[in-house]
Amino acid sequence: MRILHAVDRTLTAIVNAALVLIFAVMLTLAATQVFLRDLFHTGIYWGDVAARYLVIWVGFLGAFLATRGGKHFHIDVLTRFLNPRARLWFNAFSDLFASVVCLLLTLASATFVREALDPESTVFLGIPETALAMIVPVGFGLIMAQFVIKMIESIVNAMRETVEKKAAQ
Amino acid sequence: MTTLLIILILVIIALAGAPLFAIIAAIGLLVFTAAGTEPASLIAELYRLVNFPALIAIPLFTFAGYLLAESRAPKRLINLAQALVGWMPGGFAVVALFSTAIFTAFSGASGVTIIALGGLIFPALLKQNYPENFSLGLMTTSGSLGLLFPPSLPIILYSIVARDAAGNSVNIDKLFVAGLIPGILLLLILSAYSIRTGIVAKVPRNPFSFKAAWAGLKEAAWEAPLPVIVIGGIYGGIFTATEAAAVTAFYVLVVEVFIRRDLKFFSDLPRIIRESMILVGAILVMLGAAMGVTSYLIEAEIPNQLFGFVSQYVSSKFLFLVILNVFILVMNMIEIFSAIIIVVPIIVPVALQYGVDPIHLGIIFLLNLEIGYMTPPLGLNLFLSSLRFDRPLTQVYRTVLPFFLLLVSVLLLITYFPELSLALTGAVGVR
Repeated sequence: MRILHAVDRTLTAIVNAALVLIFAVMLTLAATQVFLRDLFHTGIYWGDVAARYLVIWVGFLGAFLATRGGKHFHIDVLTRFLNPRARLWFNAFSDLFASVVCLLLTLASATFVREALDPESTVFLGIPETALAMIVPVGFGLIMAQFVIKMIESIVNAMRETVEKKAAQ
Repeated sequence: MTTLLIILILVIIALAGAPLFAIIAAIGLLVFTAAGTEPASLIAELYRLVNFPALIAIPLFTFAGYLLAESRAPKRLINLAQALVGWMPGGFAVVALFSTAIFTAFSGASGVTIIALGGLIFPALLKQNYPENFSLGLMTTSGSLGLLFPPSLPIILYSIVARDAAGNSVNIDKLFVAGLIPGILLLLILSAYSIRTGIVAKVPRNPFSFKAAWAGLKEAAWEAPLPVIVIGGIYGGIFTATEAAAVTAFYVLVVEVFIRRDLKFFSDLPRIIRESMILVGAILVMLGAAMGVTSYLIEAEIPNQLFGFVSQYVSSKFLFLVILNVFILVMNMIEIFSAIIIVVPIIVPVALQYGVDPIHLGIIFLLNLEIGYMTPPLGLNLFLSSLRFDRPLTQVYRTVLPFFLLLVSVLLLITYFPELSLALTGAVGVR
């Protein structure tokens, strides 16, 4: 458990820093473009494309953090009425399902980057498209890891609650 | 048979609380595999997101909204509104309506309004002798009011999703402008109801003071121009919605961090970026997962089949829209952003065949969202309101009823008269 938490914390710290940095670049780029375009009728010619890619990066990193906080959109009309232990088991099940789906998406996106994109093609500033697209498999992989960690936590907590309940009796 | 079984299983998993993006992705993986397409094609569909120029409006406006919510701007906004219209009968209730509407438009309508402004407005309403049930209903309604005004997140999301399904006739700029008249109509009708309540309940009125109004204006001088920048900028064709997003985010950042100094650069800003991007991430993965399903639906001509089926029973355009209203209302009670991402690609092509303008449909859809937020028993705002103001859910259900009826009547008006939504879109120089 302790190793798991250490991994989780390190990962979250890295993603946090990356997210803030990339967001800052995206905002600066987007704002600069508008000023250049509307005031001086010019612009950075790769600016719009770059900003579009950065949105996807920001999105995946945000989605990673959403996983940790349980902030992905989900239906809680039913689980809201469960007792805490039952809810933990339901959470573990949901996380298992999400991990499997994310695993499949990670594999599919790895295939996509390898086979569908031209490794020679560059998007802006000589950055290859494959490098920019890497956020898709990496993102889904990170999200999957997060779901697995959450699932293990839920199971451990649910079992602990069971033990405590028995001890109380 | 197998299909039905799979759908049933997925519905059960969704109800068990699994993230909806995973459910949608699972559907995508299943239909692609069934059609003999590689799963990598599903990712190719997701990857189309990099070609959506309007997408950047989502993170930028969300960030600006979170910044405003965290600053003291809401307090200044309420003070200004109070100084300007507080003298009218029902004045403070009208203040509540307008300030929550503006706040919701900027904060993305994810329920923050009730949490952030409720604590300021609800006790003040009670203190001024507004009936408790009226105040509670008003607060619950106000949580989603303003959703029709730019730059609300649901409008942006609708336009992105609908454009992908229906083509270029849908664009954010047009939708931003189209929401104005219906949104104002809604505010006026609710204001009339509030003024009536103010008179009936004999709420004491404050005299108008130029000094207070001037002080309020001065205090809110930096934030007050924001709606003008966004709406005026787009309306006047000065910039597109996407450009407005960049300008707004940058402007709000400079004002709240460097000029007003409500927020600190190093301690607050990273946290706000993170929190706002969590919402953006949750929306984007769901949108990405849905891209594949959407193109499958279009490829398989599902909307056409649906139209063929529905048109056997429903021939009039208006009746179709009424049935659609009921359907969307039920969908929206469950989860709003998912409803847009899942339902819009299916119904937009069907509505087009009925001759419904996709912009008009968008306004109907968004107003439905607004009502869905407060529709008993499952609307999100009912729960938030019950929690925030510590009142039983059943009381909240009862108190929203008059507001619900008013909103539904406006919905019918807007459904029946497309001109209300479309009049401005043709007239202005939207770029």
